[in-house]
Amino acid sequence: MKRFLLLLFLLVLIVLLFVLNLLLGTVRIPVGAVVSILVQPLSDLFGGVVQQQDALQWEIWSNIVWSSRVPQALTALVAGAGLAVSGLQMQTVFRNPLAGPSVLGISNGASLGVACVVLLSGSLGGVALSRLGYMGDVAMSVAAIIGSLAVMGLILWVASRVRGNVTLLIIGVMIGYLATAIIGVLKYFSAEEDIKAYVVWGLGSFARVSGDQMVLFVVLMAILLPLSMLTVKSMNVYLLGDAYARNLGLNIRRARFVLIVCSGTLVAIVTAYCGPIMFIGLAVPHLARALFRSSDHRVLMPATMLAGSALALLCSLIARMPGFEGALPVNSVTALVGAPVIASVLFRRRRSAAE
Amino acid sequence: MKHLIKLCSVLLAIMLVGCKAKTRQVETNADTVCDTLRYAKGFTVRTLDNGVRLVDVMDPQEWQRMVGDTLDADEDRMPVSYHFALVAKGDAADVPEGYVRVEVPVERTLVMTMLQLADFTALDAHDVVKGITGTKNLFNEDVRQRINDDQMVKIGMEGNFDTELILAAQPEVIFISPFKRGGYDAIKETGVTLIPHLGYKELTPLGQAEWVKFVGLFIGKEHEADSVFNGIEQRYNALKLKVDSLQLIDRPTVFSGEMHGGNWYAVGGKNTLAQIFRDAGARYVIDSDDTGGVHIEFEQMYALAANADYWRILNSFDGDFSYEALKASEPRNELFKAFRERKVIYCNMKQTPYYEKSPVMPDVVLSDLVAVFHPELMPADYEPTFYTLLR
Repeated sequence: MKRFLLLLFLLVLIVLLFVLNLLLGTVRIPVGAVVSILVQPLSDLFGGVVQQQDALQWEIWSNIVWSSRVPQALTALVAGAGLAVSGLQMQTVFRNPLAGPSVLGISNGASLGVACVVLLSGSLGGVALSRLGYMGDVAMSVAAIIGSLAVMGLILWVASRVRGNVTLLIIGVMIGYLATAIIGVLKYFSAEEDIKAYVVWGLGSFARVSGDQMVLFVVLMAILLPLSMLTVKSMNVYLLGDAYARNLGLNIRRARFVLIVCSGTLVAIVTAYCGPIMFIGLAVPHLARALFRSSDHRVLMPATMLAGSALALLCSLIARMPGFEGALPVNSVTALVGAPVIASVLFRRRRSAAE
Repeated sequence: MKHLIKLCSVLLAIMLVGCKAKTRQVETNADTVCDTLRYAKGFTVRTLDNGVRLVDVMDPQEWQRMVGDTLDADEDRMPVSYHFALVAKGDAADVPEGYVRVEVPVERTLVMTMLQLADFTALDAHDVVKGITGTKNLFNEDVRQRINDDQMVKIGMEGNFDTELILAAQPEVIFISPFKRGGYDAIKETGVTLIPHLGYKELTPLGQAEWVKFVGLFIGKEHEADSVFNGIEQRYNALKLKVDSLQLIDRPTVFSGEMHGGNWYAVGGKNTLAQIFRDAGARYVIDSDDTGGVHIEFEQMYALAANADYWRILNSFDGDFSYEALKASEPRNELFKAFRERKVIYCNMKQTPYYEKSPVMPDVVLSDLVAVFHPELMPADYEPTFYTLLR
C-alpha cells in the first residue's frame, strides 16, 4: 500500500514537473497564455474561439510552447525513463551497483560514431560539419545509433563466447576505453570548430530534438519502455545468482542476451537524440531502491522508470530557469542536482538501517 | 568669486593639458602611423628621438571597458599588456626598459590565423610568411603554391604546434592570438619573439581592418598599409554616409547564426558584426553589451527574432545551400519570418574565402549588406562578394 502511494506520488510529481516545464522558460509567458495555447487545438476541434489580444505576440508564444517547450518536456520525460531502466537492467545483469548504461561501452560507441561524423568528415572529406546546416543533427543521431549498435553487437558476440559476467564487464569497459582512445586521436587531428561541435554534442541536451524527429523518438521510446517491462521476471530470478537461476529453469545466457539488447537499445536511442547523458542511468536505480526499500523488480522497474522521468524533468527545468542566458548543459545539471539528492537518500537509509 | 574659481580651474586645466602635451612632445615625435590611427584601439605607436618605434599592444575590449568611447583617454590608465620597441636592423639604439627589442623589417615570420594572413595578403607580403597553421578552407592560390614549393610550412594547429617545424622555419617573430587555446609555452622556450595580433578583438570593422598598419610596421610596409587602409576607410565611410543620409527611422531588423546542439550561438550586441549591421542601416536584434559569442536558448532567440526582417547565415555547406537544407537542419527554422519571406543573407565559406578576405575588406562586406538592406543605394548591377540573398 505504501509502495502504491509512493508510485502515485511519483506520478503526481511527474505531472507537476511536466506542467512546470511548459510554464517556465527563459522567455516569460503568462500562465494563462500558456494554458490557452495548450487548449487551443481542443477548442479549435470543438469550434470554440479562444480570445486573442495580440495576434503577433500570440503566434510567437504559441510557437515557443509547441515547438520548444512541449518537445523538450516530452524528450526529458522519455529519455529519463529510458536511461534509468537501462541502468537498472545493467546493474542486475552484472550484479554490480556501479554498473550503468555506459559500462559496456555502448554510449562510448555512440560518441565514437558521432566523433567519426563530426571530426573525421572534416579532415577526410573536407566538410566541416561544425557549420554544416543540412542534416547536421540528423547525421549525428544516425551515427550515434550505428556506433552504439556496433559496440552492442560486439558485446553480444563476446557474451555468447564468455561465461563469466566479470569478464564480460571488463571487456565492455575495455571497449569503452578503446572508443575513447580513438576519439582522442580524432580530436587531436581535428580543427577547433569541429571539436567544439563534438564537445557541444557531448554535453547532452533535451532541447535539440523537435518536429518529426521528436515524434519518432517519443514513439520509439513509448514502444520500447513497456517492452522492457517484460524482462522483469527474468531479472528477479537473475538476482538469485546463476546456480539458483539455472535451477529455476532460467536460460541464463538467453536472459543475459535479452537484457543486454534491451538495455543497449534504450541507451543507443536516447544517446542518439540527446547526447551522452550520464548519471541518471547509474543513480536512479539506487534512488528507487532506497525509496521503495525493495529489490523486487516488479516494484523497482516502474519505480525506476518514474523516478528517472521525474529527475530528468527536474533537471531540464533547472537548466532553463529564467535568468540563465542559455540553457545549461544537462549533463552538469543532472549530476549537480541528482548527486546530492541521491546521496542524502542513501545516507539516510543506511543510517536508519544501522540504528 | 565663484566665477573666478571657475576661471582659475579652467586655466589650470588648460595648463595641465598643455604641460602634458609638451612633455610628450619632448619624448616622442609626431609619427605618420600614430597620427593616422583612428579606429583600432588595440595598439598605439610612438617614435622616440633616436628613431626607435614603441608599439604598445593591449586588449581593445579591455580598453573600451575602462575608458568608454572617449578617444582622448589618459594613457597611463590603459591596460597595456605588451610592449615592443622596433629598431632598424643594425641600429644599436637603446630601447626603454620594459620593451622587447624587435629588429625591423622582419623578413621571416609565422602567422596563426586567417585574419593575420589577410593583413599580409593585403600588403602583398606572402614572402615574409614562412608558415601558417593549416590549409583547411584555404583559397588563396599564392599561399597554396608556396606551401607546395616548401616556401611555407604547416606548423600544426593551435594547442599542439610542431616545435621542430617552427624552429626550422627560422622565424624572427611570430604573430599569435594569445587568448585562444594556447600552446605557446613551447614556442616561447625557443626564444622567438611572440607578437600578439589582437585585431579579432576590435569592436568595429574599421578598427579590425586598421591592424593592417600593425603588420605593416613590423615588415617595413607601413606606407603601403597606410594607403591600403585609407582606401578601405574612404569607401566604407562614403557608403556609411549614404546610408546615414537616408535618415532611417524604421530600420530593417536582422539576426544571425544557427541552432546547434540545442542552443543558438549568436554574437553579442557590441560585436563587429552588430556594428556593421548598424552601419549598413539595419538593426541587430540583440542589444546586449556582449562582444563575443553568447549561447542563447531557442525560445529566447525565437522571441527576439521571430519577426526580424533578415537572417544572416555564415556556414560551410557542400554544394548549394537552400531553404530546404536550412529547414532540414532544424525544422523550427521555418518559424522565422525571415525564412518564410525568403530573406536569408547567406555566405558559404566553402565557396567564398570569407575569413581570408573579409578582415581587410569591411567596405565590401558593408556594400553587400547595403545591397540587401537598401538596394536603392547600390548600382543595379552590383555583384556581391561575400553575402547574397539566398534564393
